[in-house]
Amino acid sequence: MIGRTVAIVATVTLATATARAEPEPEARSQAAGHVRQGQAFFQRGDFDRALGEYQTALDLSAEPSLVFNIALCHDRANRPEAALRAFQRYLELAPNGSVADEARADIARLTPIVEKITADRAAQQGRQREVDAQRAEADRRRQATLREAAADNRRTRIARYVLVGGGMAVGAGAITHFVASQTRDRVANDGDPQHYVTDRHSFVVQRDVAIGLYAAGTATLAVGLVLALTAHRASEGPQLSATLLPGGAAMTVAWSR
Amino acid sequence: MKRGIAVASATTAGVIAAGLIAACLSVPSYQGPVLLGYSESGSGATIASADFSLHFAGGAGFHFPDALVIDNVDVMGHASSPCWGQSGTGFAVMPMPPVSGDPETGGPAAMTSQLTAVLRGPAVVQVRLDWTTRFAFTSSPMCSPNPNHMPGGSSTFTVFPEGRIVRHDQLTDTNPNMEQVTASQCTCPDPALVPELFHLSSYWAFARDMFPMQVGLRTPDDPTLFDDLGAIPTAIISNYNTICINNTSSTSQIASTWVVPPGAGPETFGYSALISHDLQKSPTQTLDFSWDVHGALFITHTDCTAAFRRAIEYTQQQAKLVINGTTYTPSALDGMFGGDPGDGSHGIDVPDGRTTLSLPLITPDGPPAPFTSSFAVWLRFPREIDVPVATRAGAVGAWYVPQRIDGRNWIVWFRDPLLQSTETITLGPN
Repeated sequence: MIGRTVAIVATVTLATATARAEPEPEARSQAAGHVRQGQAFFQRGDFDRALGEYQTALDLSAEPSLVFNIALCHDRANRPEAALRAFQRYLELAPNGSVADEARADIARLTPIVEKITADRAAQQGRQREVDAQRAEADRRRQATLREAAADNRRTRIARYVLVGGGMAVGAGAITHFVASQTRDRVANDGDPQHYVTDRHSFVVQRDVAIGLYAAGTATLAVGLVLALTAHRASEGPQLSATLLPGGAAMTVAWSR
Repeated sequence: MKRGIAVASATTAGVIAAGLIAACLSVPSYQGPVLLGYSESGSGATIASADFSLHFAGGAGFHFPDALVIDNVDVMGHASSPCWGQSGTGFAVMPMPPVSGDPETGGPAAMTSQLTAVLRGPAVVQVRLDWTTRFAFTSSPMCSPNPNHMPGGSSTFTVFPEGRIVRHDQLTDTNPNMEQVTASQCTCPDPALVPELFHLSSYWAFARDMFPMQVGLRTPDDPTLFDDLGAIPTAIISNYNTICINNTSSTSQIASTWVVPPGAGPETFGYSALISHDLQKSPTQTLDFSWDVHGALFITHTDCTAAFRRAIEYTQQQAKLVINGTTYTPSALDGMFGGDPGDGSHGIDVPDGRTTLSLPLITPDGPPAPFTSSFAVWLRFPREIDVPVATRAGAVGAWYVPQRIDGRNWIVWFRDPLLQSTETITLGPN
């Protein structure tokens, strides 16, 4: 089969080259060389390189029979769709060409194959789209999970920062408290009224700073604790409600997990 | 929800903790160096400085002073004298046994005796003793049979760290049934001193063997030695309103002085064991218990001349102080500028800003009035202050000690007298 077809191709090539006078002789010569080289590759079963040589020759000579050769190369290389398109192209260029019947036979042979391939590909593409859709959904969910986790991490991190800040404020308050205690001892034992006044002023400032730091630190710790307890459920954060009662009012802070 | 409660509890605990911390960090009020302290124990109460202490008797008797310790030695006179004789400190009601802190076998019992610390230092201590009794003692059961008849009195002792004890005695006689108590019914059995007459006196008694040198003043310029008291066990020398007794090693002296009101006279008694310096009311046949007198003791460690100067300054009201342009003399009842003038009020009102203390001039061109020793000023500020702060050129050390009465009222004790007219002390809230 291979030998017959190549022979036909060679004949067609020669006949066509003889009938047409448009290409330059040098181009024809070069095309003929590429044809021969293509035939050699074809006969060795190296269809892709043969196809390259035929394509070059086609570019040089515009000989339609080379399209047939190219179709043969695709066919032998098990590329039925490309082969079918090339055979059909050949028939368009040379419907009465010497290998037109051969081309039609090949088209008839390849058409169901290509249709099956196309159908299979369409089915595969459908399945692929479904897989892609599932994958996209999974990705979307994963992204959502990641975003939520990132948000959780951010809230946890913020809660941690707040707790650390509160702890640092309480620690600073404790240090100031200690210093104030030392000053207080000095104030309690100050015999000189002038020293008493000076130390008393210092003590009052230190004491107020200590109390302020304690208060701020405690409040910050409480906030941090609330944030830490509610970090993973932003939608279930603290709920603040105020209720007017006959005898007064009530304020409630509540949250749940 | 439980976690919410936990957080709320933690927050509440934090708030409570902050409150406790705030309470722990309350501002201590000014205390000052303790120059004179007051303490109580089961045996009584003690006012103590570095040099001396005055102890008040405890127990069921009269809580009058029963010990005056100078340089660790009790110099108060504790007598084994006749029933009516003086001992310790208190009131003699001859011919009855005295009302004093020293126990007297067979004497009148204290119905009430309440010692109250009015001022507790660190510079000025003042205690007030309120007491009542009944003159129905063992040796004279018919002296005062009416149980509603309860004589009583109060004595206020104001003590200063430089060794000054100002005493103010008041006696009253609660006698709703107008019971007549006569000396002839109330006499001690041994021996009857002056039958038919009561001799009422306020007195201090000192240990005689510690003070062999005794000097008396009838007038500020007439010191008279009366060291010959020892020759007469019950000698009485009248008219020395101020005496000074010098101890055996001449390291301490005590000047005792009384401000003599009309109808009274100072007397110095000499017994074998003690010297008693009395301010005696004119004798009466029936008990006349109304009595309002004052005097002072001055403890020195130099000589009797210095002690006399301080005593004269007190009795003659010589010390004067100009406070913001107004001249003041110290209260004779408690020894303080701004002290009790006799109506129980205290304090010199001063403005919120700076207050100036200085000496007055006797004449516009003359020298300043004498001022010999430490002094105390009771000031009342228009608002509560932390502590008054004073300044004086060249003053060093604890030259003044503020003593808090309340936020507005402060006593400020100054260690050094003002000696020059150019000297000024400025004082203010801060």
